Amino acid sequence: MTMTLEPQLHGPITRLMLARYLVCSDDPNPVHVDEPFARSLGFPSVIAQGMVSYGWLAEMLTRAYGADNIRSLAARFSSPVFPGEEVTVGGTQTRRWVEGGSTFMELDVFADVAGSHRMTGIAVVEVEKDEVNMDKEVESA
Amino acid sequence: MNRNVEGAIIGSVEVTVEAVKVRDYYQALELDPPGPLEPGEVAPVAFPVDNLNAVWGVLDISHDRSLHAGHAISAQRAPRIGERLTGVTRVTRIWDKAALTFATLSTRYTDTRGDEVLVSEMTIVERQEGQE
Repeated sequence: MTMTLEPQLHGPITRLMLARYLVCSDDPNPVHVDEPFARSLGFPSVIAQGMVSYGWLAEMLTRAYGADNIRSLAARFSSPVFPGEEVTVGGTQTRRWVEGGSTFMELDVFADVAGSHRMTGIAVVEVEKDEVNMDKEVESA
Repeated sequence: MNRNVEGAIIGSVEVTVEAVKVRDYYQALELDPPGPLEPGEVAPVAFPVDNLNAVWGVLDISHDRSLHAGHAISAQRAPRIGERLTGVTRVTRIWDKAALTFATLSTRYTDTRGDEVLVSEMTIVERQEGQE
């Protein structure tokens, strides 16, 4: 039996969203807000900060397991996300083990646009069965 | 890219996890905060406590050649609203792959007792000269 987190849809990405994230993260990279600059790099438009999708992944894990139970979240930003696109984040349990009296779960996580991976990663959460927010999980064969 | 900084500590930062900034973070991501943002409440683990972009200059790279290519956080616990953290940033690795150069910057955050709260690791990719 595999446990799958219920996929969550976010967006569509807006330029306002990117500008707000740029401000709150102190990220000066103009590729997220400056259209001519982004085009000069060969992109069709500005691109979303990878940390926006990463933040949605972290939030999905937080709501399922609690922020204090997230042990790690590592993600590779494989392709950019553009304004107007909707991002689906999700995750599937790949491993579960007990160590030092605690139970840990590893999940493959992703951020997709229209079924295409834009970000993939691995998360580890510390979890006790009773603490899992089961309504956020879907069992699949 | 300045390869001489591999392994070196290139900066430190003192940050306070301010409720107003956490609200800005949730607003930017168009998320509803999970609860009241009072001092001591848990903050998002991916809250951008670091300002790693500010130290890109140490690597001698520019935004027209480089992008944030990946991120990893390992956490002992989530930060708390109102908490003061100290982050120390080190260039952990620089390597080449195909026509790209990668660098990983790792920032270790500790609380006022000196206990580790989380480690935030940023991977930057830079196109090498002559590559489009």
